[in-house]
Parts: sequence; C-alpha cells; structure tokens
Amino acid sequence: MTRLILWRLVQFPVILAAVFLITFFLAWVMPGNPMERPEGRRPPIEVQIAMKKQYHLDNKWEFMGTYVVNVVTKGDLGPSLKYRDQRVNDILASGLPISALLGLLSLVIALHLGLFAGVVGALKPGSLLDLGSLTIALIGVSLPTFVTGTLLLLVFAGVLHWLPAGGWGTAQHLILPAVTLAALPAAYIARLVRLGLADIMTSDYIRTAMAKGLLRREALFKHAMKVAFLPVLSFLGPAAAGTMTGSFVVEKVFSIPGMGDYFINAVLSKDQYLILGLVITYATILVAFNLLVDVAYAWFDPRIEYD
Amino acid sequence: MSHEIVAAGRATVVGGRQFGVLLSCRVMSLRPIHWLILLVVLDLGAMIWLIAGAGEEERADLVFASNDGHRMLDPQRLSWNHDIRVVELLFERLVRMKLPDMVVEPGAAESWDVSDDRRTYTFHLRSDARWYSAHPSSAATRAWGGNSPEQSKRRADFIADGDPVTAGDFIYGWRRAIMPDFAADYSQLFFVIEGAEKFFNWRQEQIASYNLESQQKAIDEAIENVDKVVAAGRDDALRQDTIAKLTRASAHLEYHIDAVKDKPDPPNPPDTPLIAAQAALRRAAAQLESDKPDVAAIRKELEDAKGPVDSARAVFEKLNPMEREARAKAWYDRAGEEFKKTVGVSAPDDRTLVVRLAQPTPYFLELTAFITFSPAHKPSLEAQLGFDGDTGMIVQDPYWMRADRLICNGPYVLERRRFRRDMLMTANPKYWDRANMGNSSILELIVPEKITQLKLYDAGKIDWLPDLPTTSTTASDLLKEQKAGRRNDVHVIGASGTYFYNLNCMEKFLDGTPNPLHDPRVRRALSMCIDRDLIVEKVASLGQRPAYTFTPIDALPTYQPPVEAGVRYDPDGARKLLAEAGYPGGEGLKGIEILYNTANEHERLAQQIAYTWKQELGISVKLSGMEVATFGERLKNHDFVVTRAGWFGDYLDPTTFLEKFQTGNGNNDPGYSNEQFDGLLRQAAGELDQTKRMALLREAEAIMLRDQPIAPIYQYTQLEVFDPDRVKNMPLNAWHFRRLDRVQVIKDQSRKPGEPESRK
Repeated sequence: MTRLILWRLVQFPVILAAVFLITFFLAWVMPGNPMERPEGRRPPIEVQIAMKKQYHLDNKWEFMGTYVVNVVTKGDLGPSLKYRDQRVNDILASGLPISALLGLLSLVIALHLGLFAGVVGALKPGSLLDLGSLTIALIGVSLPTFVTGTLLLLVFAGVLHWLPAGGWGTAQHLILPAVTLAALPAAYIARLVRLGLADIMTSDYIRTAMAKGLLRREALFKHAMKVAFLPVLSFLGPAAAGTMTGSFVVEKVFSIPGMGDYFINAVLSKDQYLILGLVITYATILVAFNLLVDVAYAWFDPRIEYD
Repeated sequence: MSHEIVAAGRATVVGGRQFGVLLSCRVMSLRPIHWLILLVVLDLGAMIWLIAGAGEEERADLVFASNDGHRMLDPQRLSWNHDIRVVELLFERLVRMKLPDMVVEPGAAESWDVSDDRRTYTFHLRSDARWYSAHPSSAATRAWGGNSPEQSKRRADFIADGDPVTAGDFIYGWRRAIMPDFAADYSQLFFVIEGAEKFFNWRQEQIASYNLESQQKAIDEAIENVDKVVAAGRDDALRQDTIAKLTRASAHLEYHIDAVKDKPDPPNPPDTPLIAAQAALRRAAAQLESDKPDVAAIRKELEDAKGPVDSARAVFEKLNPMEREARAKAWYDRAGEEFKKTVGVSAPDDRTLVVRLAQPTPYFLELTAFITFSPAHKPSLEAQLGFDGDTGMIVQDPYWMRADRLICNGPYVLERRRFRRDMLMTANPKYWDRANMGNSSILELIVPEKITQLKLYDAGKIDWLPDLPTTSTTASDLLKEQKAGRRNDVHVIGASGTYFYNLNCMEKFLDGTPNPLHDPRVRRALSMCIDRDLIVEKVASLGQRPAYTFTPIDALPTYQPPVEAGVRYDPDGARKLLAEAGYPGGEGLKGIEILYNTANEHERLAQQIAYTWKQELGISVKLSGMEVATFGERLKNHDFVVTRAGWFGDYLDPTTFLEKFQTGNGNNDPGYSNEQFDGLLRQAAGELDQTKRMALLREAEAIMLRDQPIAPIYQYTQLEVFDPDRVKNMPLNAWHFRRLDRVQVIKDQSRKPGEPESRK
C-alpha cells in the first residue's frame, strides 16, 4: 500500500507536467487574441504590444518559463485575461469551494439513491420495485442535466415556490442543483449495483452460503455487496473529480457562481492563464481522487495487491 | 450499504474501542431493510433541515440582475456597460446627467465657468464632497499604512470625516486614464484636452524605449542589411522602413539621456556616449535619405551608435529586479513631470480645476459626466501601485477595488463584492446629496441564465432585469404577453447603437488578391439587397427600427441623421449597379464571405442576407461563424469581405459614431478612407456654431453613406423588465444613463416573501 502511494506520488508531477504541456500548446495554437473584442473601441497598437509583453503573450517560451516559475515558487497561477481585476487564484478560490460543496452533496445523494435503488432491485429481482427503480435509473441516465434541471426548477421554484430559482448563499440554494447533478451518477450507481449484485448472487460461493442457511438478504449484504461495490468505487473517483469541479450546465441553469462555467468560457475568450489554471486544478483533483480510489480498493478487497 | 456501516464501526474503534465494539454489535443485529428505512428517514430529515433551517439575508432596497461577472471595475479602464452600471454609483464625476432631460447638473463641482473662446473650463468643487469607504478602517490602513503620528492622524481623520475630494484627485484620475500603461479603452476621450494626446504619445514612446531592446534590434538589423538597403532605391519600402526605424531609435535614446541627466551614478549608463550615439544614428538616417548614400560612412555611424547602445542595454540587463523596479518608478515620476508640463489641466487650489481644451468641444461637459472622467483617490491608489521592471509600465494592484480597500466618492460605497456572484452597495454616509437618494442599498446579482432571472423576478427576489438579451425567444415571449395585456412590466427602448455589416473597402485583401468591394458600386449593390424591413420583422423581431444611417435616429437631441442619403432596398437598382461595376448578373463576383461570431441571431440574419444576395444578385455567399476572439482578431486585421458588427455611442455627439470612419482610425474596420469625409470632420471640429457644426457632420455622414463602407441594418433596442408601479424614477433612454441613486423601490408590505409578483 505504501509503495502504491509512493509510486503514485512519483507519477503525480509527471502527469501534471504532461497535462500542462499539452494544454499549453493547445491554448497557444488556438486562433484569436484575448485582448480583442468584437464590439467597441480598441487601444492603440503600441499599447496592445506592451500589454502583450506585460502578460508575456508575445513569446511562448517566455510565457511558459515565467508561468512555471510563478506556479512552482509562488503558487501563483497568473492573471485572468478576461476578468482583468481577478487573478486565476482568486477565481479558483471563489469558485472551487462552491462547486466542491455542491459536487460532494450531489455525490452523497447519488450514493444514497443509487445504492438504495440497486439493492432494492437486487433483493427482489423482477419485482415491481425492481422494474420501477430500473426505469427511473434509465430515465436518469438518458435525460440531459439541462432538462432535469429546468424541470426541477419549473416545478419546485416556478409552480410550488418551495425553493429558490437560483443563486447561492443559503442551504436551500443547494438542493435543486445537487439533486440535478446527482441524477446521472445515481442512476449509474443503481445500475452498477443492481447488475453486479444480480451477477454475484448466482455465483457459487453465495449459493454455498445460502445452502448453509443464510437468508438471501443476509448473503447479499454480508458477502455480495462487498464485491458489487467495487465497480461503484472505480466510478466514484473520476465522478467525484468531475462533479466537484463544477458542471457548466447545472451552474448556468441555477446561477451558481462555481467553476463549471469557466471550463467553457475560458476557452471561448482565450484566457490562457485561466485555461491552464483550470486544467491543472482539475488534473490534480482527478489524480488525487484516483489515488484515493486505489487505496479504498485495497481496503475493500484484500486480494488486490499493488506491486 | 452494510459496508458504510461497518466502516463507521471501524472508524470508531480507533476512537474508543468500547463504544466501537458496542456499535458494531448493534449494527449487525439490525436487519438490512431497517437500515434502508433509517437511511431514507435520515435523508428526508436532512432535506427538511436544509429547507427549513436556513435563514435568508435581508433584502436590499433595489435588487437587479446582470448576465456575467464584471470584467473590470477600475473606472479609468472599464468599458463594458454592465461594469459601468455599478461603478458609476461608486464614483462621482464633476457633473451628473440629469434625467430624463439628459442635461448636465452639478456633481462634485458645484459650478463652472467657460472662457469666451470656449476652450478653458474652470470647475469649482463643492466643499462637502468626500471620499469614504464601506470599511473605513481597513481602507484607511491600506492608504496610509505608516506608523508615524502623521499617518495615524490621517487614518483617524478619514474614519471620522472621510477625505475631501480635491481638484488633484481629478487630475490624478484623468492622468491614470491618459497613461497608455493601462491600455484603457477610453484614453482617446481625453484627447479633447490640450496636450493629452501629446502626453499619451510621449509616455508610449518612453515605454517603447524603456529596455532598449527595439533600438538595439534596429541598429543590428541596419548593420546587417546596409548593403541591401543602400542598393534598394530611395523609395523602396525596405529603405524607408530602415530610415524610420533608425530615426525612431535615435529619438528613443532621448528618453534615456533624459532619464540619466541628473543622475550620473551607476547603474545608469552615462549620457555622453548616448548623445553621441543619437547623433550618429541621425547622421546614418540622413545618409540613407540622400541620393547617393555612402555605405562605408553609414556602417561607421551605425557601429559608433552600436557601442553605447549595447553597453546601455548591458547595464539594463544587469539590473536586478529591485533596481529595475526603481528604474521603472523613476521613469514614471518623470512621466508625471511631463504630464504637468504638457497636459492642460491644473489645480490652482484644492477646490478649483482648470481644464484647457485643444479646441472648443461643445460636448465637453457631457463628456465629463462619463465614467472614465471619475476622480481617483491618490493616497490609496499610490499605495497600491507597482512597477513592471521589464517593460517600464505601471501595474495597479488589481485588489485595490476590493470592498475592504476601496475608497469612493459616489452616492454609494462598496459593502461587499463576491466575484461572479453579487455586489452589494450601500449609501455613502458622507455623500453630500444623501437627502435626495432613493435607495439605501443596491444589490446586483449575477445570474447568467435568463430563465432563472425571470423566475427570480417572478418570485420577487429581483426588482429589475436590465440585461435580458433582446434577441432571445424569452424576450419575444415577454413582449407577446405584454401585447396581450397580461403584463405591463416589459419596457422596450431604442438604443444608441446600430447593427450593421462591414463591407471591406481596402484595395486588396490581406492575401494580396484584389477586393471587388473596393468599388463603392459593389458595396452599394450589396447593401441595396438587404431587406431591412423583412429582417426587423422576421429575424430580429423585437421592435427594432430598420437603419439607413449609421447614427441612430432620435438618440441625439441636436443631430438629425441624413436618412435620405441611406441606401434603400432596391434589387433592380442593385443589379444595374453590379452590371456597371463589371459583374452583370453577379458573374465574376466570387469569394463573398459573411463573417460573424456565433451568438444570438447573427447566423439567421446572415443566412437571410446571403439568401437575398443569391436570389437577387446571383452571388454565392459563404457563411463563416466563429467564436468571438477569432472574430475580433480578423475584424481588426481587415481580414474579411463582409462581417456583422455593432456600435454604440459613448457620448452625446455624432462624432462618437462618425470618427470611426476617419482614415486610420483604430476602429475603422472596413478600412474606409475618403478625403472629403475627413475634411468635413476636421472642419466641424473647428466650428464653434453648433448648428453649422451639425450641418457639417450631417454632410459628412451623407458622404460616408453614399460610399457604404458599412451597410446599416437596424437600430438596436434594449429590453428591461421592472414593475412600473413598484420601481419609480427608473430612467429609460437610449444611452444607458441611469442615475440609480434616484430610483425608488416602493416596498410592498402586503406581499409575503416568495409569493409571486402580481401581474396586471
């Protein structure tokens, strides 16, 4: 286990460097000029040149050099080119906690709903409950979040007036977006658990256990669940990194000042510093969660050894 | 499921063995289905707690929604409407726009005199104008940080009484705007002031010469190419280019000589060799200008210049970051002196500001009401000023506009700002006109999604929606409801902006191929085949007005755009013109491409126009949609045939629209150039009589419209939603003049929170 963690920690900077380089070159060859805008006045050409120099945008090697030095020595991800009075660090500091809280909550909801539906289905396969939960899961997987989100918004905020239509600040603001975000992973988890359990419950060791007098649900919870949970665990790593760094659609629909929006808009406005900052943050979180999943895997299934 | 529970059991074992074991036992004895039930109960409980338990903040007097986070709040640098909207509450200019009359009234200045030649304005500042902050203590610490008794007295005074707004604060603010360092969008607005443009250019050259890189490069290139340059003819581009570069390098050395004149100590290079180098460069350039340049002599002059320049550059290269910053600061201080010397603004005393204009500018007072003309609190800004030692430019700490640091003189102070979330402004307790203010707090919410905006508005959480996109189906739905009499809170106003198509006027495209649109007949023909009525009705469909002129109708009180000179829909005439231009039936007119950024209805509009051009003129048109950044870049480089575009006026004068078409103007995207037009604009600039001046401008616009470097399509409208019975004094005008300090929101006591707004 220690070796695994150490090995992963060694890999970590290499992965980050690779991600950085690829993003950097993609962001650099992208057409367009971040100092430019289609409507309105523009500063004189000399000023634009000087500005480019100040932002290190006139030479990619110089840009890369200063960027890496600043990130490594000061943890400074640079200025944002679109939001000129913000630094990328500020943007992340204001958006990431919000997205992370929302993502975490939605994962908790997804785990609850998904496990519940999956287990209920597996306990009584073919029952009405099972069919019902599978149908709902299917809908959850197929409906895009903007449909779920808008639907929830219309019902709970528009018609019933139970919950605010959007914004951020109180706990009430969390509920609709968290549920919207949870829909897809919940459905996914439900299917994983349901199918996994169904498969395992027909296996030899469960049959043996039941032959020794174990009840079906005892066998399910004591033995089968451990194994059926493993695919859920591997799903959770990337899912956590994904949801916790924000969803463009959900944050837009519910007007949440999280990070999701930047993943699209930074690229559209060619905000190179913001793009790099986002990708590095995302990569770090993703790698960290994958490491956590690996550790949890070993803990769940002692047969697994990492060499 | 059981795993979670076991895990919980295990975790507690670590904490307290006894309890953990106990818990594990109990865990195992419960039947799984009970666990599931318990879990559901817990989830529901958590939900109820979330719904019931959370309180809500107190509502601000006026709440409005914006579409996006703020780009920049610096009053001297910003240019986006949604940025201006909030920042103009925080800073007060010399005069304010009185609404709805759209005339200026006293602001920070209580009165002003204008000299007989209309070139000197003397503003008398009111004695009770104050700088203050929503967080006076922390802001004061930032502005006067020292431990000296004097500094602590300044802090205490500020916390108690605020700081008086002085003429010097205006000069400092205006200087910030004129400094090219910030690349402020609106620097040019100040060029009506005597010497402002000169200073702008001076500082620009000073920065350009700062690290000697370009001078060194110019000399090295010239030495390398001297044979080629001399061999080329006198009018050859290479030769002219080299002469220009050498002349510029020579001129640039002046800034270095100037910088070290009084400071002979290292690490500054001595000035004598630089003076010699400067002269050598000048001689080399003069040689190149002559009919028979002497290669050997030029080479020698260049070599003579190279030595001192290289060593000066070496001195710069050796400076450590601290020394470089000190150097950048010295240059900035020098720029301050130059400003004082060159620019026609002065403060004989703290309450008198004298402005000398380059020429009579009839709209100058209106101009000073504009956000860029805000004063700046010098002590706090200087305390947060840095220098980029590599480029010599000043760098303002972007955090200076954070709520805990910001010092303002407007009707409101910044209580709180959460990036891309909200901005809360509260009434400035030291504001002189506090008695006439309508709201004691204004909250701006950032709500990117328009449906959410409407939902929040319907729920009574938002009073005013100023940013609803006019081109969305939501907007037209709202308008339909209004027409059917189901609501009365939708307001459509003609805006001071025009939606138009740029028609490239350059002789050749960027790739060197000839441009058929260089011929005005072709441009007119294309414009004649834009069915504006149809577009307004079917594509834009929000009560827009078809545009035949570039200057919007009814937006300017004293100017009537020459509508009769506009191009009307006339396919027959267009075909005739095309035939005259040598493209009968559209034959030979190839490569016509419409460029647009993929947003809003630009694409549908382009399709409509392309269709008409194909049907009526027989031209095949390529449609190219792209994202905004690339689009903007191509626009700037004149790298297009036809593009969509939009333009909004900034100040109450037609020049805000017409200057764009002057030869060489930085915003002249179609590359239009007409001597007659330029001449009329120059003539108008010198004309004191307003009526005559307007006639000249009108004539100029008519000439421009005859040439059609652009095809006007429609006059923008803006759409706002607010309940006229609840929100009083909300000004509606084409210019985004707001005066939110006078808006009053009637609080509806009968309405419970969350209850939908009653619609009449």
